[in-house]
Amino acid sequence: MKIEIKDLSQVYKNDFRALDKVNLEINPGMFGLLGPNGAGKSTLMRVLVTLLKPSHGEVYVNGDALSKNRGEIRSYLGYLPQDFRFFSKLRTWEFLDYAASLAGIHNKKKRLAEVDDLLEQVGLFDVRNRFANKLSGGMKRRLGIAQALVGDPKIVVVDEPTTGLDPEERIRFRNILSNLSQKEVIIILSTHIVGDISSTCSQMALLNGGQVHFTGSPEQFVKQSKGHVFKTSVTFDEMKTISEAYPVITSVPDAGGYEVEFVADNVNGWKASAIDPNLEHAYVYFMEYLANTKKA
Amino acid sequence: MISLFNVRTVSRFESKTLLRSWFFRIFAGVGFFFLLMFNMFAVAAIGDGAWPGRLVPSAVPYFNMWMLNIAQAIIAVFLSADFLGRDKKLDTTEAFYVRSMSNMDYVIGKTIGIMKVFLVLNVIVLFLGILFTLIGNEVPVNWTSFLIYPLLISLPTLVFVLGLSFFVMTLIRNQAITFVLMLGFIALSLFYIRNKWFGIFDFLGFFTPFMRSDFTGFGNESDLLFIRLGILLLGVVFILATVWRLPRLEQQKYSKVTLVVSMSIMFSAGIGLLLLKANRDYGNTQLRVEINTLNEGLKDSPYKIKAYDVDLKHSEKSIACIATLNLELEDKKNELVLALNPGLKVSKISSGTNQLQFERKGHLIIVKTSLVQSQSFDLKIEYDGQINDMAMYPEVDEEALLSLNRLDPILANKQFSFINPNYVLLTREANWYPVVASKLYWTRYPFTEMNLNVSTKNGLTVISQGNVVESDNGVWQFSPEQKLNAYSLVIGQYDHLRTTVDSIEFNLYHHKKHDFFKPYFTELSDTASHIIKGIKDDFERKLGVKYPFKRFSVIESPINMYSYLRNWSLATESVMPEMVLFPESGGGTWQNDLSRKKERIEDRSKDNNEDKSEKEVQVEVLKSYIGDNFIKPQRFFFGRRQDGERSVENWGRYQVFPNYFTYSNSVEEDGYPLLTIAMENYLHKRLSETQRRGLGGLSPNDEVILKLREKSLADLIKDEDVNTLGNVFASKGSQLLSNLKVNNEEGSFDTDLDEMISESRFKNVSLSEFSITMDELAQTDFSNLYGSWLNDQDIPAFLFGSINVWEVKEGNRIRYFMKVPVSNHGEVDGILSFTIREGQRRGGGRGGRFRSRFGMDGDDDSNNQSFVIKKGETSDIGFMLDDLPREVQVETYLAKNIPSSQRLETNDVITDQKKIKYFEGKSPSNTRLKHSEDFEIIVDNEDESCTLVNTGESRTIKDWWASKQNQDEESDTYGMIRFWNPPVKWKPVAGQDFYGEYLKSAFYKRKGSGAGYVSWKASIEDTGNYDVYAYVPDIRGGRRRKGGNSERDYHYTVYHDDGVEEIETAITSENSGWVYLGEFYFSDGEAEVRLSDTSTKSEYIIADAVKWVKK
Repeated sequence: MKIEIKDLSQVYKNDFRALDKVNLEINPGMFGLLGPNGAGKSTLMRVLVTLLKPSHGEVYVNGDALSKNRGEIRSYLGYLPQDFRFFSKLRTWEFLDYAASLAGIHNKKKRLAEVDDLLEQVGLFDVRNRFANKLSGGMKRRLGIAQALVGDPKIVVVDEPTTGLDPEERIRFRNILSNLSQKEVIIILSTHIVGDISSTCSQMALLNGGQVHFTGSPEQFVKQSKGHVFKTSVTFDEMKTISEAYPVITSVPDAGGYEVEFVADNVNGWKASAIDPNLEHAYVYFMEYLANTKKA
Repeated sequence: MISLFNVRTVSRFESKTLLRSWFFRIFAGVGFFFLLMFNMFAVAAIGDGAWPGRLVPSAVPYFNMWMLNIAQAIIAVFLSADFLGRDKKLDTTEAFYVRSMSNMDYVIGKTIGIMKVFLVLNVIVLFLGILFTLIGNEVPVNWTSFLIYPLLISLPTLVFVLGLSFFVMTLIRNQAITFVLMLGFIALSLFYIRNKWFGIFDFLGFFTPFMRSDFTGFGNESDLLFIRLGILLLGVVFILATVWRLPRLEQQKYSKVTLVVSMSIMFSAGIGLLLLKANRDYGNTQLRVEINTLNEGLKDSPYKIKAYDVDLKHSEKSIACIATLNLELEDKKNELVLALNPGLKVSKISSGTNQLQFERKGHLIIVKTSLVQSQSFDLKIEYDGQINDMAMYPEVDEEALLSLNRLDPILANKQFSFINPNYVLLTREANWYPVVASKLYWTRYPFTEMNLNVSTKNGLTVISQGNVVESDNGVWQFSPEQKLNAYSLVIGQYDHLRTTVDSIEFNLYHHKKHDFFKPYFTELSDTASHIIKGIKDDFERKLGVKYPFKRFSVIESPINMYSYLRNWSLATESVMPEMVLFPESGGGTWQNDLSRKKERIEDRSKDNNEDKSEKEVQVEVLKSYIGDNFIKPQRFFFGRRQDGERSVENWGRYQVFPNYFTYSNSVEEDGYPLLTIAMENYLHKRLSETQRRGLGGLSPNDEVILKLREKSLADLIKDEDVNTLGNVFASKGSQLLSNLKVNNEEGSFDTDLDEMISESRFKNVSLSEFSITMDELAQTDFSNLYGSWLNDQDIPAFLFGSINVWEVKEGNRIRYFMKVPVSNHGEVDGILSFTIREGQRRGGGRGGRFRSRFGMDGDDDSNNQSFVIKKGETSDIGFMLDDLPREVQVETYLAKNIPSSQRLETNDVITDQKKIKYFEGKSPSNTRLKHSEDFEIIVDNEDESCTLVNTGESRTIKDWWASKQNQDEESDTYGMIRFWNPPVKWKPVAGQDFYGEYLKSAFYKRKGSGAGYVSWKASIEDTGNYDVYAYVPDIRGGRRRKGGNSERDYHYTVYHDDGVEEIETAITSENSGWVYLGEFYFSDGEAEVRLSDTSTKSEYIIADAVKWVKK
């Protein structure tokens, strides 16, 4: 299973370029799509799941053009939309049953077994008879992922899946996806929450302003910012100056003021020690420095 | 390709969702509840409100589907607009959009899902219909109808509404606007489009007749098929268009192309079907135009048909005839023009051995008779085919033609004739045998002999006029005893009941399955003939002439049969010589609901503490059944009279009256058959009772007076469409005969007339013969009288003085002397007819009225006398009565007086002048009657100095709606007071309770803000003190009636020399008529009184007249 995205552009009516000549290659495993709000993540995902026809370019799945083989490609897609909150009046299990039927499981017995299995997996078995719109936010997300996974999809696309989830839910959610990535499945996860990617993804891309700014593994991404992340202690007065000068990532109050972590190309006169960057640092560094210079 | 599995999946979950939606549950619940109630009370007749339509075959499933259809169209709009709206709002939908299914699967699945839910609803409703029909147990369940109606009514509408709302939604993408548009469209089709434009826009089926007869089915099968299938296909096209417009990327490469191609095919097919129907109707319209044009060009014909010999073969859907006509040439030889229904194709015309050339133009056959030499000759015409119904009643206008044949409330078709494999019904109007097409031939009914031989398939009964012999070879031979002026033919599977009364054979032919009436008459096998004889004798005593035929048949005929009332006759095609074509199962009218009728009779006798045996009850049921239908028909209308049809009081489509005159007498006139109409109406009036019009409104006669105000009858015939003059002919006709009657001083006119009618039966009486007879009968120069009747426009005008009643002693008896002073202020002599009822009303209550209506009372307690009042004459008319007068009714015929039939008020009886000189009859008087005294000034609403101000109408939607309704229902003529929905503008009303010199009228409107008012202005000549009065008629009624005497407040403003006085008066039944407003000082010049339209206690204000009386 392999997805190639070639020269993909999406221009909306008002000349807004949501995607600008995107080229990507996605292999089985978990693929993280990182970027700020409005970067074009959702647009890219909607193109991938055949909801949107791109203005230009093509997506190839195993070498087959997406625009010409929607029927086939849809048959191995699973998709969790971003705003997965409103349900028609169906019970939890019925909702999954509906999805399973459309996913092509014709045999009723098999289908119901799979539905129960999935409900078990996402921990919704106890509420299987509750109406889906009566579920809590986290449960709805889990139901969402369950319906995306129904029918053994080969490509799973999840759009901002962890927004609004509490940490426990989020961890559970990541685990479900991780389990899945053991199989030969492409999981595309779009997020603006860096932690989601660092903990699960083997590949990632960074999207900003409709363009791909980085592709590779998260480690490679983090490496870019090595030597540009610092830690220091500042007084209350200095805090203002430093936060004006550099993007401050964390600031922990201590006895004399704050202990701050920040990113910078050069530390001009601050007594600061470079620390090992993590994905979050890398993301901020990238957004603040690399993205701008690249654009310029 | 469509994946059935996907469609099933989508539909399964769609129906699940819908069934769970509260919107659907509530709407469906309300609909279900309504139909449950309907079926329970109206169909199963539990309780008091049974619907008589339940007795008509297939009416129960029809009504259920008809009502459900509107409800489900509205629900479908909401549900379907909701479908895409929901899809748009929910991202969850996208999770399903990425599944591998085609857009077709999805939309079809959704549609089927919704349809499944409605299927459930339909099944439940139909089940209700079946269940309660079984419970009601009066008519058998028509199983096929329960299958056909949902497919015919529900399915196409549902698919169309769903498709259209889906499609509109995909175009507009706004749920609210889609709702508004779709509901607007439904409202438009219900309230405006209706059955306009050939009915092809009636997607709701609300105005399409779906009545299914047990004899002949729908009758308009192909129309129904074209329209309903057309609409169904268009619905499918809209659904496909939704697939096309669905905001989801399609799955297959060529799906759009396939979709558009199939859409265009179905679209063309759908539109094609609708156009086919429209085109056929249009063709018929053209045919009617052609027939009318041809008819206009017809000249008097020198030919007369003396006798017919007709051999008719009925097979499947056509008839084949060989008609031999014995013709006589009475005048100079000319081409022979015959008329025959254009649906019948003439193959050959011959005379003796000569084959004759002929030409067919519309309904006319123009025969070249050059080969015929003799004055009397036979013509053999061979023709075959069907009857084209649309060639019948050609003079009936579009409006009347399109008006609905409503059987409260569902719709029957309007078929005028039938030729089906198992059923044939042909009346004279079908023109199934040729007649001579001379000028105005369709209004002429000359008597001609006919021998008819009919062959049809085995098992069918053939019914026609005359004595019948069924020969061994299956030919039915009919030989009528007399020459007749109309022949009809009915063939069908009938059960036949027969009895002989007074040597007249009474037949009842009914559908084999329609014997529901039998249980109501189980005890009458030996008495029925006596009852019939009693009713017949009563009727003939009242009418004055005897039944002229040897037999009388009531023949059940298809519910979809329709006939029009024409202007030249009170007979419709539903009555033919010797027979009445009675509607199937009684036609769903209140008077033919036997079980309710029986219950009412039983209830009444219980109320009166009478103990009636089953037999007595059955006797009453039979009497009122016969009375209501054939003798004295009662027409119950909800709301207004039927569109486009003439209104005749005391008339009914199935009354036997035409058999006593129209089908047995004929006068040969040159132009319009005015004398025949006159006689017919004069006779018919003998049967009628004038209806009281307490609420105002004009009788047909009053409307005629308004119409004749400026024109003579001859002018009207010249200037206006004669087809609109039916009531004018009737009123004028009845007046002519009444005039003749009062001219005969011996009072023998009526008996002489009856004798003349009996003697001239089945003869074509020439005008000169008739004229001579009339001279004798009326002891006057008839042609002179006839001339002025036709050409004069002047009419009499009567004023009545105050009526006193004295108690007098005549010998040893106490009697009552009543004196009615009357003046004729008109330009011509006029006649008055008084009907005086004495003493207390007998019987009282419902029973009494019931009895008198159906001739159960031996004689009427009324006393009827007519008088001529010459122009300028003033007389007192004296009556000697045995009892106090209860009601004095006077009829003024065609005079200025409106209403032309009014009740006169009498003063309290004078008991202390027992010696007064009393007299009977007319006595000249010297005191000329005046409308007003010299010292008073009366301004009536009819006067020019009475003006109206209408303002602020239509302030609310309710007002606007009310005013729109008024526009629809009324022209600007005088209406009657509508308590339940008074108009928002001042409207004229007329009636005997109002004030007026000759025309008793007023204005009224619903209460308003005070911005609207009526003003009466008088020019005062003598300065001084005046008493001011306003006339307020004692008319009460309406929604907020509290007790018997509701008080109403009227607000008058009097403008006088010392200022302006506002006067609030309380109007009660005691304080009404001339209401005193006060004494005021006026100097010479203009004085004014206004009546405001405000009121707190009355829903409507009546403005009539004001008078100033000099002190």
